[in-house]
Amino acid sequence: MRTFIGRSGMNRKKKILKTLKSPGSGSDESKDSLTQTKEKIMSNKNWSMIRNAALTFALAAGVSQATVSTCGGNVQIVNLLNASAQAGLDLTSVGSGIEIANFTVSNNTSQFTLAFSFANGGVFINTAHAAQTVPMTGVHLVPVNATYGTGVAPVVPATPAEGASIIVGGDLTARFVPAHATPTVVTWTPAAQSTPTTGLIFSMQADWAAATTVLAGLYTEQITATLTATL
Amino acid sequence: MAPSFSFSGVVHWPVMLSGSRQAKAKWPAFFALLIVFPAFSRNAPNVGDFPVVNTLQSQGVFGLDFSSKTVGGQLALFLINSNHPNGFDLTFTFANKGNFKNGTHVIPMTNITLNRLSGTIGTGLTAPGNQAVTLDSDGAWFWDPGASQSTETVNLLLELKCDWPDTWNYMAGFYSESITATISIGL
Repeated sequence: MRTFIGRSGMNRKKKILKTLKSPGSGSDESKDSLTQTKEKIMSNKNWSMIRNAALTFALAAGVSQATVSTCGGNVQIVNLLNASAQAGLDLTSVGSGIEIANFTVSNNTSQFTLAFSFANGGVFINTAHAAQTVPMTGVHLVPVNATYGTGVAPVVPATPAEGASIIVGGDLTARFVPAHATPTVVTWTPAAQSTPTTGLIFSMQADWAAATTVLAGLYTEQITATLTATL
Repeated sequence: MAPSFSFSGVVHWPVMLSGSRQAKAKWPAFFALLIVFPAFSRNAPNVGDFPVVNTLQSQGVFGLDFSSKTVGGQLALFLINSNHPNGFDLTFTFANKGNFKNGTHVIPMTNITLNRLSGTIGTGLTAPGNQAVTLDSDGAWFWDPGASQSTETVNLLLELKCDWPDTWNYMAGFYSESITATISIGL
């Protein structure tokens, strides 16, 4: 059996407690009865404390709540290379810094490598008579319209150095003499960049001696450019 | 005075049907006790507070399209339920202070707004309609829809949106922002 305390019950509780605190009031029998009632009241008081604590906890739990959401997306890799070759070169005259092709590079990764492979090793070969050739005596890159990524060292054309040592797999920041062997590969690996390189246009220029002792015909060289991104 | 049951399953109240007038007169009190007793037979009285509901769920949006300039791109969704008379408040904290970050690379957000998509906001509170989010120096923004509500806020769905630029000249990679939303009892 439990004692339930409503509004009137609370008043009764106060009266009982007051009676118990007042010495000499009431008989012993009624005191025993009141003592039992007090224990019941205290029992309810304990329950009330627990209840209040639970409510306080529940209230505190509901007062504040935090959530974390992450939003985002990818900036896609840009690693673009466009090339355009020149036809109609005048090989009968001395060539010096004549554009043979141009390349446009866009890259937004941390680093990239640009490689050129000369199919004939830097030699124009007669398409009908393979023995008839016009060798390039120097090749270099000239930046035309460039937005270098931060950290990328600009390409600065070096002083022409025809007859210098043959560079195979060399650095395209310098003018080089093709190996005249098949194939010749040269690469350019700039330092890491912290901003993208966009629309970087290189003009590949070559030198040659006047071809006065070769057969007439179409002379060609094939250049394969490869842009490799490093993540 | 317990009821008896026949084999056919029909409940009979023999005493009620055939008992004395005095016995019949006690039945209303008996039924009243049957109804009242269960209510007071538990371990605790049936009094107390209606529980506070003040909940928030959120979901960030992945796969944002950074390939072109975007206006009003959705960043995150927030679902709110609240029944507190004082309503609720929301605090948004952007970890990167309103920037998508990929290491040291940053895509800035502009024109951040809070907008109601659906659901019911409590009477007395004001739902956001592309409300500007102005982050402070710590990347935080406090939204107070009102001081009190007389009806519940139920399944109020909000979205955070923002603009970002064309990222053609940004470094490749995954860019993200982390948003912490905190709901509290309204002030």
